[in-house]
Amino acid sequence: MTDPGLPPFMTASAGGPPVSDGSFGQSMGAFGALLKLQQNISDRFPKAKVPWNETRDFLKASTIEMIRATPLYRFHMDFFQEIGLGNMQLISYAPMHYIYAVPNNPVCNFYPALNNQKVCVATTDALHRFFREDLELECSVEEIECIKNGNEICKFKVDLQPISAYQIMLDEHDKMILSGFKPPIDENELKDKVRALTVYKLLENGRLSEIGSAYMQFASNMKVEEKIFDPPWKLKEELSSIADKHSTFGGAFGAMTKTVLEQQKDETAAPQPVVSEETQKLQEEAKKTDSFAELLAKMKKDQ
Amino acid sequence: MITTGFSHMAQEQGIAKVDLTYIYKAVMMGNSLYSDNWEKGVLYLTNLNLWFSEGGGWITIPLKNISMVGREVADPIRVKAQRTIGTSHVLIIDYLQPSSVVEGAAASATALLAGNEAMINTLKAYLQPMCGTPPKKQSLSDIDKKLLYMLSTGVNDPQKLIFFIGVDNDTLANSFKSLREQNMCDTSGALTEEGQKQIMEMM
Repeated sequence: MTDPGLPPFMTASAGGPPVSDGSFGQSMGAFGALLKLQQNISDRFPKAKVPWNETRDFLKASTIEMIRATPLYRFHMDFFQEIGLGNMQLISYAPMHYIYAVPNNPVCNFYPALNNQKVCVATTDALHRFFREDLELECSVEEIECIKNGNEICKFKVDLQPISAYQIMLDEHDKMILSGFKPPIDENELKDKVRALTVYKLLENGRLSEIGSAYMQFASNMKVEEKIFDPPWKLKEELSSIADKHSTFGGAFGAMTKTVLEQQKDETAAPQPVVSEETQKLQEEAKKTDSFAELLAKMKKDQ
Repeated sequence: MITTGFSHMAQEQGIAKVDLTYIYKAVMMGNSLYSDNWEKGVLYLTNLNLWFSEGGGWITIPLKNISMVGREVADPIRVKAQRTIGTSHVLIIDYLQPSSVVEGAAASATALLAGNEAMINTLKAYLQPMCGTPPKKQSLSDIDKKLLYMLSTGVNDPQKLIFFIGVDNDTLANSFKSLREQNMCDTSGALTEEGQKQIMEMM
């Protein structure tokens, strides 16, 4: 290929007046910073899968305070902050609908030249990916307010797809209740469960609602298997508990090393994907199939 | 209106330079990609244009001619990119360009950009606000599949389907139309033999 040299805009009248507030240097730096953030997301999201029992506790928490107290919520907020998505907080909640806010959102700084519009695509996509890939909850995510659009704070609305929320939220005891059987649990737990099922519109006045009846019709025909594994915050918690238990640095360091090595051994036995599940599936499909025609036929079948 | 990048040269400011693989004008029909002419090259993003190195020169897509950035990439396209160029991370850019048939008219065209995941997502996150796409994300590709599952279990009341799948009326209607066109179900929502077969395979 012939070297095309520099594009014309760099060779003629380069460095003319900026068209808006953001300078060339600022924009170049901002693009690099956004690339670094996206690299963090690509590296870390595939290793942050959360088991259903934790997501279930998150889904069943019925007030903002209860949600904030769940390990999943704390992990989610720390995780996003470590990645560079700012100090996110849940500010509003209704079952299957969440509004998160990010004060001083660092993502806004990636667009020095843009104003009077919402810009936080990176946060919107990250929230969608976290819920979809790490929690297995289908959803839609929309930025509803943005600092760049003149609002005080950036706000993101997450709406869960009910069918996917139900699949994860309902444990065997919930399904027994919906099927008209009393599960082997104490009265208080039963009351809590009935309350949660009522909040989620599956029960109405103690009876199966129309939604509940349709869901059970669906669920009795669609068996889903729950995978059991450790939550991604387990190692961090173990390390901090070791630090609390040991009075000397040496003792704590030795115990921590042992824990980390054990964790690495587990990871070798069951390697975590370094790419998203979707990508991995596509790569496998691409490798397995001999011809493109065959592949297309298979894809058509799979759709 | 269609313009070229050259008319704004004095104001043009570079934002990023990336190495990637692209098809400037892809031939696509529905979920299928018929082009194979991926080019390895350099892309400059400026406040006005996308500049693609091609052969010994440059071609542009003015940002003001871009109608959509980042529409959902169907699996067959991602798989084809994976097989051809070794990555499934593709950004679709729909744009208008001067029609070669009617003077003064514009024709729609599609460019595909491919590269590593972080770079493609960065381009998307940068270009969407620049081209006026609001930050919103909904997974649409699985809606057909979810609808087929629901129909297969006999749940076919539109209001319940709208609630369960969490979509609006139009999206559900489109999805239903798509299943009908693929001969997966009849007008009442009952699965055809093809639809039953599909469900068995998905399970």
